Amino acid sequence: MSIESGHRTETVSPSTGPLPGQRYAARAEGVSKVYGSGETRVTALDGVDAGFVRGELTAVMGPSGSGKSTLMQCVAGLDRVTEGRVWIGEQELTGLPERALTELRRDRVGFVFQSFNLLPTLNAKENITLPADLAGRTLDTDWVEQVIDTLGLRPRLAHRPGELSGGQQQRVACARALVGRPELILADEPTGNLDSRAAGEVLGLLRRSVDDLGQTIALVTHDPAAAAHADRVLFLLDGRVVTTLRAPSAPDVLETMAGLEQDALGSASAAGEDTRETGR
Amino acid sequence: MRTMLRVAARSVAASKARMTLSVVVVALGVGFVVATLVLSATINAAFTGLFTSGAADVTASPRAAFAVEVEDQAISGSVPTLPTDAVDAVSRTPGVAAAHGEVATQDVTVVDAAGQPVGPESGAPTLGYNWYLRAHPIATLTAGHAPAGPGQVVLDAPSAVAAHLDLGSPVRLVTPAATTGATLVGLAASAGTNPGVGLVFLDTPTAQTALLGQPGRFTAVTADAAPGVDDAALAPAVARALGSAVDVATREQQASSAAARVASFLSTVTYALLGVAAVALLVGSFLIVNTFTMLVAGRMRELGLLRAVGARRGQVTAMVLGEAVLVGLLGAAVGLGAGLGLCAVLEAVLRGLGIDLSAVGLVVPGYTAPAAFLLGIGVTVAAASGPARRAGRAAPTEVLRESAAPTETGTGRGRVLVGGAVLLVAAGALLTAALLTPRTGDLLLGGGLFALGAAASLVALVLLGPALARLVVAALATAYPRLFGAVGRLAHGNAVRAPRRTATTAAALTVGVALVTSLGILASSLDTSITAQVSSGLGADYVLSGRGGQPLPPQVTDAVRAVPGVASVTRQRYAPAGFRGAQVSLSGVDTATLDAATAPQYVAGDTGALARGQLDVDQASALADGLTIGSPVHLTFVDGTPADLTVGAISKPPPGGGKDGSTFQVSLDTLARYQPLAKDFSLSLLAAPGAAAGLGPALHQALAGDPQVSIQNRADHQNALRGQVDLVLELLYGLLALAVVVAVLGVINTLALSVVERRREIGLLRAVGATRAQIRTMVRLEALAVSLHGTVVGLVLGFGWGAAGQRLLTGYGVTTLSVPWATVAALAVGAVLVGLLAAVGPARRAARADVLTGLAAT
Repeated sequence: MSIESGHRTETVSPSTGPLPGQRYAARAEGVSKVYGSGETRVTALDGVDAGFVRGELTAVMGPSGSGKSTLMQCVAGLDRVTEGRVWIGEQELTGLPERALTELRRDRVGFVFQSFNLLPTLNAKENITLPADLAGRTLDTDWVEQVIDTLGLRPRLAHRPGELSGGQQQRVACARALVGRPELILADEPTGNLDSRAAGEVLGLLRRSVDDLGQTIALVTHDPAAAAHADRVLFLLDGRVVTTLRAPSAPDVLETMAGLEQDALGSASAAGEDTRETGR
Repeated sequence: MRTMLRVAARSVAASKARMTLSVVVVALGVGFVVATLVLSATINAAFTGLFTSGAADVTASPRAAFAVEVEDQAISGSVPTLPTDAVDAVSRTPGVAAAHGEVATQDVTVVDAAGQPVGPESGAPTLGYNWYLRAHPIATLTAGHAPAGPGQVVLDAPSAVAAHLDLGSPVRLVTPAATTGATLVGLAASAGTNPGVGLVFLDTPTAQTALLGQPGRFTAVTADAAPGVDDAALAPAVARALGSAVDVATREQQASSAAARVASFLSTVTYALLGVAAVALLVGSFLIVNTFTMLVAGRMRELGLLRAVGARRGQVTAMVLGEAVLVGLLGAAVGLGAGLGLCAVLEAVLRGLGIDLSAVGLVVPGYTAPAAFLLGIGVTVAAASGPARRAGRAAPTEVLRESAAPTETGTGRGRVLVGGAVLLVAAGALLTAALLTPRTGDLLLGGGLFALGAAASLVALVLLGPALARLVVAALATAYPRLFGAVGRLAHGNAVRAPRRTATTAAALTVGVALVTSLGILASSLDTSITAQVSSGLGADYVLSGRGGQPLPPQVTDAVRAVPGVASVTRQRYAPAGFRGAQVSLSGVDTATLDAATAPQYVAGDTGALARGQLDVDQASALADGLTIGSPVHLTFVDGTPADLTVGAISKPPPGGGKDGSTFQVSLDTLARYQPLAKDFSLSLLAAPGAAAGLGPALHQALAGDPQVSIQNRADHQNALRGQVDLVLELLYGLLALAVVVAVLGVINTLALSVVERRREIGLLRAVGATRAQIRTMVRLEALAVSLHGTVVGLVLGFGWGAAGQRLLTGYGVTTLSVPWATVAALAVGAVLVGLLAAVGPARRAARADVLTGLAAT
């Protein structure tokens, strides 16, 4: 039961954190998520406690159906929890009305998804400033320019997504997330559709924005090489956080994952995300 | 192929919601066609039944020089008759069981004791007959007894009930021949279907004097065949017995000629209704094109997969066409049911109006169902053929494609070039029609050019649509980003991202707006022209005519002449005449006062030519028949009298006036030489100076005993003309509403489908912080851009059609171009509102879309 002990030592203890907003950019406490009811009832998250430390890159790993995407969607305010509580900074999300949740997402969370990150009718620059434009907020121009230059997007600003490579599109998505200086950036499999060189670029970029800019990032991935860029890695299995590694190497991650998958094979079911409606 | 069909059927089932509106528009169009076909067949059967239920086995009537239209038999006054001898001759013919003399006329008005007209208010005629025992009765007695002796009359029960007449009530019968007092002695019910005509029965001698004014004469001789004698065999024998001066018809021939007459009248209405249905289907086909385009675009990966696993292009195309067939089949079936239902409702409505068709029931011609399915499937398949071909071109590599909502690139240079050329043809044709027709008066050529121009402009609209959409929508939406910020920019981008789809959606609205605009311009121009003419100070102060279009008895004219303050009475008489095998209306007029009373406009010659015994022909006929001043014209009257005349004048018809077809005019004296029995048809009065104001009451007083006479002053005349124009216009607007409804469905359809198609995009927007209200605004702004585009283009097109149409109809008295700005403004505002209204559902759906559904991996 070494896994269990690791779980206990590293995750937040809800009752003890005196000012959690100072240490954690985002935090989940006893979060459960249940889809459907009766025979089709699926428990995607089962009492998860997790915290995302400010100024760190936290990776969330786990086999398919472990609940890692669900956890991140709940933490980022994309989805609502069935039970438990969630905070972004000091703001509790649970019970927040729809409109307030939308505005919180817009103003305090940045997103980078696996695919389909950009609006096809807007050019790169317009995509980068979209959340601010939707909010009617003016961005810090110097900061925007700095981000654009850092990400090497200056020559591409007038291009539409259709005219950009996958790596370039993902860099535009990163820029969109960064320019708002959000509390938390959620990157959900951001390298899933990229070749290894482009993936390396994007991961390096995320690492630098943590190191140089003090950004907090949550990275959902199942690629051990990607997870190796993280300060901490949370491992999920069957809707629970089962272990945590600190600044691991890729082989460490690989080994832990292999152990988890052994467990998964042994367990009765591996439901979770796969049963969700995924469109056509 | 079985597999592909199965895939097609399942696709339709899977996209039920998206196909619904396609089915609805097919059903609307087909339903309208079905209703038109069934209703016209039913009415045809009802009227034919009416005309033939009383037809004898063999009927002999005086030979007419040509077939006179039903409604014109009344106006000539010269009803051809046969003597009593003819009845005897027929009764002696072998094979005849009984022969009867028949008196039948339409020129009768029944008036109650208070002087109020009795009979149908729908404008249907009152028919007068002599009562005799018929083998095939027109009507049967339901109360009282048959008319026997002078002063006894039987009326149809509905007319008597409506006028609160009981047995014993006094009535008067007014005909051009005489005014006769009578007592109601019996009520009769029509033996067949009665579509609302009034019936009057008198005994034979009374009918001869009161209805015909010709004692001892009959309008026809009828014969009942002896048992076992065939009608067709008997007819020649009857003809031989009477000599060459008669036409003989069997019961069957009567029926078919009656049916043909009704059909020729109904066909105009039927074609107009079918035209409206065609517009609705055209507009609906735009919707179907969009639906299939978007379904195919959304399924490119699936189609690519089919291709990858071995489906041939043709098979994929056939699969999509198979889906179209299913949609068309379903739409046609629903439309067929809906059309029949509509007919049942209309039948009930007509019954409420006194037109009872229950005796014939609904007549559903055998071709109705095949026509419905052919039309429904044909339209759907034709509309889907483009998208289906595109589906066939799906590359197997589509499977691997990242799926974002498609963005069209390019609008096709070739398409723009061809479209531009077609537009030039359209403009040229319309311009030629507009400029040439007023000068030549050649309505046939002008109308043809106009039709060509209108059709070509529609084709150009379809071809140029995408390019136009990119231009116009971009221009309309440039203000969006400034006005609405990021949401405005998104809406702008979405509206121009698929110019072909935007164009197709807007085209439906464009057609509706263009039709309404052009009709509005025509109506307004006609109205203005009438007002200009009537208020020009020219023309009669009062016009008197028979309410049912029947001639005026001589005593009316005498009474009017005696009214103080009447400066002049200009009489007009009509006689139908045959000219080169067709019927023309020949009118006789008082030439001395014609110029002052009706202000005729001559292209050549003058009223003096008429006074000299020459003929005036209308401009359109002159052109069509190649008549010029000095041309000889040979006419034949109904009774066979020939007339050889010379053209002395060519005139323009008055605004909104003139009968359809040719109108020839001579002096009263000339007409009297050939048709001495013709009665006055209308009287145009000029008031003595200062007497105009008091003239109206004086006329009403003088004619108190003749309620069948309508007395119209200038304002009445103007209003009557306007009323006719407005009635037609309202009817057309009502029918065009169908096209507008379909256009609105099209906007809803496209928006709804594009919201579904852009599910992921909307999810992404929501994830990065767009509020629901912002998403709603975005969809509404898109709808606004599309409907504004459709409206603007529709107004331009409508102005073109309307202006060309006005020039085209100059010869018909539409002399002034007038634009109904209020209508146009209301239309523009209405169309934009409609666009916004159409966005309500899709906008709500888009705003409600789940953030996560959008982001789910594909």
